[in-house]
Amino acid sequence: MRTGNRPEVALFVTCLVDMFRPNVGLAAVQLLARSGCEVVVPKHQTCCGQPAYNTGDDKVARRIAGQTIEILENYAHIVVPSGSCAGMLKEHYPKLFASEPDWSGRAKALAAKTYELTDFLVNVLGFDNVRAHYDGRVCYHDSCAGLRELGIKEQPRTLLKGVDGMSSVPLRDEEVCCGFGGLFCIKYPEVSGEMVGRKVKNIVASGADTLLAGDLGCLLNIAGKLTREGCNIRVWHVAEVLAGMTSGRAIGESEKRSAGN
Amino acid sequence: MPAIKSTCNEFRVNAGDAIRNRQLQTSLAKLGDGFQASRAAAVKELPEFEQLRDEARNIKRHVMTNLDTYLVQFEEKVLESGGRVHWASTPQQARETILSICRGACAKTVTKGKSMVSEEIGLNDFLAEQGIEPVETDLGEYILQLRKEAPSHIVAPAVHLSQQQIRQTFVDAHTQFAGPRDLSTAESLVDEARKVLRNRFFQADVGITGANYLIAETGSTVIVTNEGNGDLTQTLPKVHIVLTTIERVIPTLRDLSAFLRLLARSATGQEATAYVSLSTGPKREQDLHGPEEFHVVLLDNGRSKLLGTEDQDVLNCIRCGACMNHCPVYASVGGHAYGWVYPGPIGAALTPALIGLQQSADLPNASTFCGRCVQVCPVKIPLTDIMRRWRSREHSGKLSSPLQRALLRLWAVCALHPHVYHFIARLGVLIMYRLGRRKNRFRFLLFAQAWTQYRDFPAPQPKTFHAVIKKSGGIRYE
Amino acid sequence: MSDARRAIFSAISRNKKKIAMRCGKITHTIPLHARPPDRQLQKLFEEKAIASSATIDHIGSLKELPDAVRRFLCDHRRRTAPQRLFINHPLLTPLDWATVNEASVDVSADPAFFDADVGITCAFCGIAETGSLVLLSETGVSSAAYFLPGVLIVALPKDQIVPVQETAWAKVQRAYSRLPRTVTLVTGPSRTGDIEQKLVIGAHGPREVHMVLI
Repeated sequence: MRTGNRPEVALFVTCLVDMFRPNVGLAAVQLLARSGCEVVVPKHQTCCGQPAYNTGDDKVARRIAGQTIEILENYAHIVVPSGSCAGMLKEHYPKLFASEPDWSGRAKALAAKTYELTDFLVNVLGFDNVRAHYDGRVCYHDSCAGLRELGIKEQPRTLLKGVDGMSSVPLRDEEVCCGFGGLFCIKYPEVSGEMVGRKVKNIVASGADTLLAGDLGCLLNIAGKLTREGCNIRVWHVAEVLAGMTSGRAIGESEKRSAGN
Repeated sequence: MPAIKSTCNEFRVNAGDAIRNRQLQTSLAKLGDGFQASRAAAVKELPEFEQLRDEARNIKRHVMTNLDTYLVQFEEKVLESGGRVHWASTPQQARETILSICRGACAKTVTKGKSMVSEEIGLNDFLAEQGIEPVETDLGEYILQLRKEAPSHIVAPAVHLSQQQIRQTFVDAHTQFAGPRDLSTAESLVDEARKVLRNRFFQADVGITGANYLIAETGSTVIVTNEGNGDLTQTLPKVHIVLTTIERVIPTLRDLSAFLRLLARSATGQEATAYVSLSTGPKREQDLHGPEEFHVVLLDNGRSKLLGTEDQDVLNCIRCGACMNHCPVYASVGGHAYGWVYPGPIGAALTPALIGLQQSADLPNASTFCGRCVQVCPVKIPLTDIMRRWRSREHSGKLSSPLQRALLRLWAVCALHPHVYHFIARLGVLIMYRLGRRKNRFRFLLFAQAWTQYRDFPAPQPKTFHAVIKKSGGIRYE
Repeated sequence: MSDARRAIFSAISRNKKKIAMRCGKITHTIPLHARPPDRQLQKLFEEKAIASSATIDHIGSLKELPDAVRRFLCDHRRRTAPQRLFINHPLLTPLDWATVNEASVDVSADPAFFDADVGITCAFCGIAETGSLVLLSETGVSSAAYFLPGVLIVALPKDQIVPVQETAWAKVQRAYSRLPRTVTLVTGPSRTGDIEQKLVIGAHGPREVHMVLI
């Protein structure tokens, strides 16, 4: 359903963004609006259900998924600023309802019109009007679900080309998991700590002063390790840079550092 | 009851030890430029690789749907060629069958090719208890036997060791070489192992190998190797025993080639290993050498139970090791942390079926579901889906921790009741914002020590997204 | 253990149809690079064989073989002089091996010497796709002697090079109503990567594989 000739987009903001970094949601709204969309935020959205799903509570996962489908299914497009949550809706909701004929069709229909943010901007809207400026040497971490479930790889990089003043440096093992893994980082903290430690070593070795990624879980994990290690590297969600929302504090960045920005 | 003790549920402790083990970490660091890089190069040179994966998966699925037919055909052909087939439901039955064959041959020494199934049934210790000496001949397994360690990888069992450690092991164990000798290079170590094991090959009364494939069409067992030890093990002794499992059978020689194109590339990046050897029955009259008796021991140990289930695809495994080579968890902790025979993603997917979920629940949980294993598996086993289903069984069987269940139930209430969610989120965020405002991060968070022990937790912004959007009134909030 | 057999088969038949896994049509793709035009077959074979660390020589006819072997064994670059050559195929026994004897290498086709440091045999065929040799257990041949010597020399008629394994299997099955006890594809010398993933050529099997194409 279009409103006039503007594509209608429901933003599924994700619980992590809602609670820990609303700027990502605001950046997504801005980018979508600038690219000509009519953005809607359904107010009853909560969580995509991954915590229940990945801990094996299929019953609760289905209830949450069903609720989410009901909230979102009447919009023309659903856009998610997170590869793992978008993947949950696109790949796993149909699996959850595979043996329930009533819900299966609705899950598949929702999946067909759900997109991760950068993928939507590049491949559906053909958005190429990133008017942002960012001073920095940037490396990019490819979040696992986005990369392997949804094929998110080139899209954020394509969009970042439109950011003025920024240079990119390669990141060794950019596709290797950062160790967040939802509840994994709490259940196996030492292994998770080791994995994020390696990620941070690679980031430092890359010579970048900025890390970007498309998933807030990864970003919180990596940012937390960077500051624990005393590294002076700023961490943003890619949407924040694309929307030019980088004048405030980066994720986990202390007041002192951004004063010298 | 597993034949060998498992320490799967001590994964966290094992993992911690592994992470602090510098030597192990140095060895594991080589996986990236080693197996990962060589597989990537090999795959790049074969444009048909993806298609071959699909075809291999199809063949395996077809076999599983007709497993009994192919096993019957295989058995017939083995019997026709003068061999014998033994069936074993449990590890104990397999051990006893092998023992009785060895007794029949008055065996004192048994040489062994690399066999993960023999680990599964605890064969070596059992034979030793019965007064029969097992001699591992694969270089990695031989080194581990000297060190009394278990394999940590299914293709390169000693991948966790350094050259220096191996050198020391030889110095300590090979007392037959008096005086100093040069063991400073990998070549010299391999040379010494060759010398030492040459006599053992000749002395052996029985040779036991595994089988990468069983060919129903011809009644042949196939081993895919690089060292030549498997071949000497199956040719020189009077008796050749193939210890294998029921899901290894494939229909024809043509199918074998389909798998061979994937196996070495996925395992080590080679186009072909040095040896692919088919054994069909005992030696013929006119053969100069070869075993006089040929026995195939077919073990079930939980595989038939997997047939016809959603997890059946785990039986497709061709034991290439690609999954563990690419797993970031394996790369951090190595194979021993997994606590039983099969490490890495395949270990996490298969072990609960073989030794029970209660003994091994940590394995399918210790994954971030990053999905690299699924991408590289040559037979397209949906490893992460299978691990997730084990977590479901753990949950419905109430095996998971009560604290975890309670916290998740709390989260579920929030997720299912938007008003509750919004209220708790706004309150929690406000508190955390106020507490964390100065440094913008938490070095310590009550109830989240698992996080903060290893990293800071970034502080949130003052309001939730919903609060901001609702207030801004700029866009539809409905 | 027929109880076990019964138990296993009854479990299989009970379970296998519970959920039928979707299975596509069974097809067998042969990679394009393994199907060169016939005139390129030998070239591909040699390329792959050399990549697997084998060495190759060419002769015009079987009677030139002993000379080629002598040349190969007497290469001044050898670290240790070979001592004994075991002739491991009845087709090779009647050849005139005196020239090799003159180079101080004992030659014998006596099975008692199957554990010599050099062995020579004939391949049933060669596979171009991987540069592999197909060696069989046959009358008067020791399959153990394929793996024991430090140096393995294999004679292969050029016209017995087939493109892929599938062709080789079909060839073996046509020649033998029942598969020989041993059918081995040999691709280069033995090797191991068990020490720190370092490739070492020469493990338990031959350290050198030398092919003489006829």
